[in-house]
Amino acid sequence: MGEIILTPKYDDKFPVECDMITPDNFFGKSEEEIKEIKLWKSSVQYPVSEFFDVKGDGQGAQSASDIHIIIDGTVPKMKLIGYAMTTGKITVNGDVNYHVGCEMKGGEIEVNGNAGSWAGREMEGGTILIHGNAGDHIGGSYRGKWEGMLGGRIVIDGNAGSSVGDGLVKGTIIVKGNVEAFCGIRQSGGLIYVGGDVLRTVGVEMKKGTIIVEGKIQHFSPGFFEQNLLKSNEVPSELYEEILPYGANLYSKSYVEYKGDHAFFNKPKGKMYISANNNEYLLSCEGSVDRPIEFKGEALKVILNTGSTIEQGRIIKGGDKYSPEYKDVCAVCHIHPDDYQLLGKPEKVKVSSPDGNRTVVVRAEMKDNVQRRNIFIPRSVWANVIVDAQSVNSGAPIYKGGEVYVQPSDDEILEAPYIIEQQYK
Amino acid sequence: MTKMIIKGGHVYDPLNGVDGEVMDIYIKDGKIVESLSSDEIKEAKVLDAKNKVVMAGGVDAHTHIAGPKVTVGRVMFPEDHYKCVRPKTHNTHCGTGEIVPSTYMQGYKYATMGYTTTFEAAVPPMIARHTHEELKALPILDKAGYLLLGNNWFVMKYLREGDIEKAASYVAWALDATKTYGIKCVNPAGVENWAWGKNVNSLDEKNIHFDVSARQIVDGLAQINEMLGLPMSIHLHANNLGHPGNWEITKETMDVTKNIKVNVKDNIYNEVKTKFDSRRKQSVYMTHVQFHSFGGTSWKDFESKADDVSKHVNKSDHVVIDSGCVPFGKAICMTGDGPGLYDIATMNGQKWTNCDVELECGSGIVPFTYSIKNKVHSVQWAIGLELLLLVDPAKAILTTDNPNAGPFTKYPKIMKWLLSNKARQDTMNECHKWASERSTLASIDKELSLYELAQITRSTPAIAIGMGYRKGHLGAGADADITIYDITPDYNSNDYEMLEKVFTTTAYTIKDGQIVSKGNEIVETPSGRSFFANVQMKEEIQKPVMDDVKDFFKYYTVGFNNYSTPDEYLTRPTPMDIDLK
Repeated sequence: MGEIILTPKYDDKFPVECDMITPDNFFGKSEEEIKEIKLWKSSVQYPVSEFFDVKGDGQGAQSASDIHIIIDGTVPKMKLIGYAMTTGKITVNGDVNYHVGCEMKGGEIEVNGNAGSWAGREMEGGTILIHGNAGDHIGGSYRGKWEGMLGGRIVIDGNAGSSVGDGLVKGTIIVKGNVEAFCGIRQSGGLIYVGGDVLRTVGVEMKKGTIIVEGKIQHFSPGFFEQNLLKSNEVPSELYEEILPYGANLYSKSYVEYKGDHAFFNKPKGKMYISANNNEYLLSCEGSVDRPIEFKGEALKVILNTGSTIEQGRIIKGGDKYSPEYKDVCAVCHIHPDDYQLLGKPEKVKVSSPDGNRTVVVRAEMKDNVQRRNIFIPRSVWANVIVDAQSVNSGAPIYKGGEVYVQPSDDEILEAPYIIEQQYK
Repeated sequence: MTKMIIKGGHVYDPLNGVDGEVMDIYIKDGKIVESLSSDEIKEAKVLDAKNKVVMAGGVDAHTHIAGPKVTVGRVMFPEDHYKCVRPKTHNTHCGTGEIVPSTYMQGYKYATMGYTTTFEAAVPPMIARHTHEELKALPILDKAGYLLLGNNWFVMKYLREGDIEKAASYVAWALDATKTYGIKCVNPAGVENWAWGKNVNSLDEKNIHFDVSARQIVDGLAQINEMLGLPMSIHLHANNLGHPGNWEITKETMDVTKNIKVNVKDNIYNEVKTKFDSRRKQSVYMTHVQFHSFGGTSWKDFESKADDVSKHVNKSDHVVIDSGCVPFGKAICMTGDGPGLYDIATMNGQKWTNCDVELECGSGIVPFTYSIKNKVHSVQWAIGLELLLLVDPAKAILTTDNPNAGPFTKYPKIMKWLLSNKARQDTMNECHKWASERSTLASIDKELSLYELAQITRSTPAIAIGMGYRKGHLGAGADADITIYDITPDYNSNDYEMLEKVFTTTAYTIKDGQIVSKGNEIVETPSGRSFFANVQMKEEIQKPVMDDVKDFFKYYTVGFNNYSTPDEYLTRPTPMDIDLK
């Protein structure tokens, strides 16, 4: 009853704004009327029939809640499907683009494929099920806004990108796979469950609400204080009730309860339950532990930190980045004495990106003010060759904390103009 | 040119003592006339205003609609724009935004609300050009800007030296160079201190380096204002904005200019006569007094002192105020008061930006949400309404300090609360109980009449800004800016939703004798006038000041010749000529 099948026949590269494809809009319309509903593509409006073959109508249904729209195929260029819908159901048998189910108030959307960014953005109610992966800002907010999802539920079977649930106020987001950075940033309520691993900055600027992380957190946020070590049956039961019906569970034996983000608020009420089994390093009381010694051929795996030095600043004040003096203080790599020994006290080292595509040769200098398995190169022409351009949603490349390999080298240290000419063009 | 008769409407024209009488209004060549000849009547367009209310076009004496801070407000608040979109039509531009709409949209929205004159209340001298660029794109409305001079280095220097003539000469040059209309003074002495991370908290505290106090600056600028005989009095945003307990300094500040004699150029007023005197009487125009009527010592014992402040205003003939009402909901605080907004930003943890305009003034911007459930915001809502209900309508002006307490599009909500006691009671029941406990609003059952509404939105602002001869009334000789509301004088004030609707969209808005909007539809989009003060000083006074100014330009990033705003930035430039030669 009230089933409307839209078979996609659109194969162009331009996105189409499908905000009119909702049960509320289709209810009471005949097949012809549905075909005539206008969708924006670029700055021109086209009828639905331009993009889909339509079968079925919205006249047989008793109410909009009986309408079930099936998009029978993949629509990777269709945005805003189910925008602000209040009831009924939409099923997509394939991928969708950005903003699926954004601002929705009720009903259900099921995506049998991947979803783009901003799925369920600022939604207020209803359920979105995504059986594939999803992009960034799932259940988050759009540009400039600080409040994200206000209610409802999003379940993602695969992985999600960065900023999952940014500004989450209420509602539940379940990601069974991994997430990247800034998961739950500015969260002020609700629940985020991550079944897999987390890259970094989880829960930053969090005021209230709950985050559960089942997997490993690569870089833990600094503003969270440890409260308790809980057995899995000591975790509040209402959290189980929220996630169990959607195929997620607390699989670890024990969890560490954290409170934060103290870096932003005096009395934060945000809670994180982190799997203790998968994050044993968090429980270690011995302070920072040295990174393990890991060689790839001759090259030692290290963390690269860059930054400007006082000496460097003094030299470029005159405006000359091409002087030998500048090269002398910038084309240099500070290495901890132990690592320096491990590398065989080289005069020069080659520093390379993990994929080995970008390399730079600089002078090696033993310094005990860097940690083991960390190196420092002044932020300059030489360092910038190997700094990872990936910004992980922070708006800046990874000037600090990126992984690189360092090995002894006899190659020549290149001049700044030559690098600019060769590497950056 | 056009001739028009607006027939049979109930006319409210406080300056001419017309209180709802049914009469015809005659328009010829963009002006209102006594009558038309029988030939002219034949060719005149007749607009039936039967069962409708006719008022002069609304005058907004204090709004922020153009200039750098407004633009930054738009940039900081993208979420205000993607959710509110106005499509292009055959004669109007598209636009976005609800709290700070894009420039074109502001013009259309003001016009459909029946406002035809709007004055931008804070123009930083150095960025006046930007302000005029935006005002140039503002359709329909007559406009002008007030120049920020309260923390100007030259003004402070000359005032410290006691050389008021030189200060006046500088002000005359600055107004002319920036093509602005009057003197705006924001947190006198305090904004300069903000450059050092400080503020001033009393009238007599001297600021850093310049060693002048807020009292000296207010008194000095008010004297300069009357020396030059500017059309408007000084426009004063007092110290301690938004601090609990600031009502005392507010009253003190009002008294500073008590004995300054108002100097109004008579000639223009002799040409256009109204029944009641339309000359400006005030020597100080206090702005957004809602933010300055806070009692208590902290947010815990915070309360309204609007009744005290109102009494003080009522007995002071040299004061006019605008209310700065809070209509609840989203707003953006944007003002030249940098330290004031830093306080707000640290309080609410929202986005914040701050700017120092090269030694001249500063500004700060913070998006803000006034919540109906919040204790303090509820009291602020009450204060705004108390002021407009308690102060003599000849001294009070309705504003929201757009968009600081709320966007101008919410004026109809304020009007609803003023005209209907039931509307106030119903909102008060929804509000936090502090609104009734910590203000006198609950005990006021007064409902403004349409006549009084016409005063606080038309005649009083027009007189206060020195436009009483041509704006804010419907007598012969006035500009034919007219609002026709679809309401009759015997309206039921309990049906307040209807009131809000009526004031949101006029039946017709007429600008210079031309229908510009009809319901929600924009019919015509003429360009409005740009008013500015054109003061000619004596050469021998001007010369030494100009030498000082030119010498100072070595510190600016802008050359002397590029500093002034040229005439081509203005639409229909209309100078207010003052010859002191």
